[in-house]
Amino acid sequence: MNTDIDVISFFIVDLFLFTNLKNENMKQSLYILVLLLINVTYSSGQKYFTKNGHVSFYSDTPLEKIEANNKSSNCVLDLTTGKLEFAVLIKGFQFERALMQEHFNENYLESSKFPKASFKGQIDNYTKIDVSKNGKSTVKVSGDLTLHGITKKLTTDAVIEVKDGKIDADATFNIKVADFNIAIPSLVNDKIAKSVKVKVDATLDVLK
Amino acid sequence: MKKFLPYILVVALGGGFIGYYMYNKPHNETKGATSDIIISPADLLKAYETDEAAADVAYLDKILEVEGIVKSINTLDQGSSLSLDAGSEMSAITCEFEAADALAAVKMGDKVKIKGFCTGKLMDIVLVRCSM
Repeated sequence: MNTDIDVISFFIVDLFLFTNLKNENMKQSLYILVLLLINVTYSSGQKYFTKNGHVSFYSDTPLEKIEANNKSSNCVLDLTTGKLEFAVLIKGFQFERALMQEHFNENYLESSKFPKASFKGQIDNYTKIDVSKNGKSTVKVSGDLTLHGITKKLTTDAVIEVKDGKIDADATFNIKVADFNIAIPSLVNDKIAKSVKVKVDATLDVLK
Repeated sequence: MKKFLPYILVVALGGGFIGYYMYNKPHNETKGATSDIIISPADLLKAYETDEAAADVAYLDKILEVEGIVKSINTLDQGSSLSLDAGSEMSAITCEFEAADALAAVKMGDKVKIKGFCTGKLMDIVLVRCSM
């Protein structure tokens, strides 16, 4: 639809310019300007993107609270199809304790073997997201989460907020450590929760 | 058995100290550390675009030193980041800083030299725990 209007408006502009080469008429210049503006506004894309999405996870046990943060998640949202994807580099998760970060990378997630985690999903009722005005909507996202080389289905609620042309996407969900073949040694078994809370918070801009 | 008691105590205490140190050991930092590899943003991107698996083996967890032009600056809810121009529209080198005010004096277009741990490539190549 975008390309059709681009082509038509360019054709009309060219036709006008060609048939009125000698004419310095102000009215025609205005007409051409209006067509070009229509061209420009219809060109705005429906894909939203960020390279600085914030992904964090929390493990809460009576013995220990663990938190890790990653601030370079890539997130893409295509409003034409409702597709939502995010990817994150495992080695980018920062922990307060260096030893925990080392165990996380070397032993639990084996990040040299599996450097990335990703989610490829679909927003169920994406057509209700209206980017022309500020507002919040709660949507359901379903898809595949790939972590530690294992892919599992994931469904979660997400809050999509449109704010001044940007989209803020927030989601919180739980994942079971065992589901992804993550082996926690018995020595620290009680320090790491069986179910870990994951939070995604990304502000996406229009992809030009 | 009593004869060995002092020796056993020394070993136990020693072990205790080592354990305590390891438990609380500080993060590896890039500030003041020697870089493992000095490479230009464009060369780093080329290496990853040619063979990502080989580039991971060569660069992951290493301290890379890159010098380049600042393409964008972001203050995040935790820390800050900037991206260096690697000669591509799609991909750049993202450098994450732990402090939110680390980039207070940096502007777009500045030429900067940054050291950081390489964590791999999504669209950008991401360096973390960076310092200038």
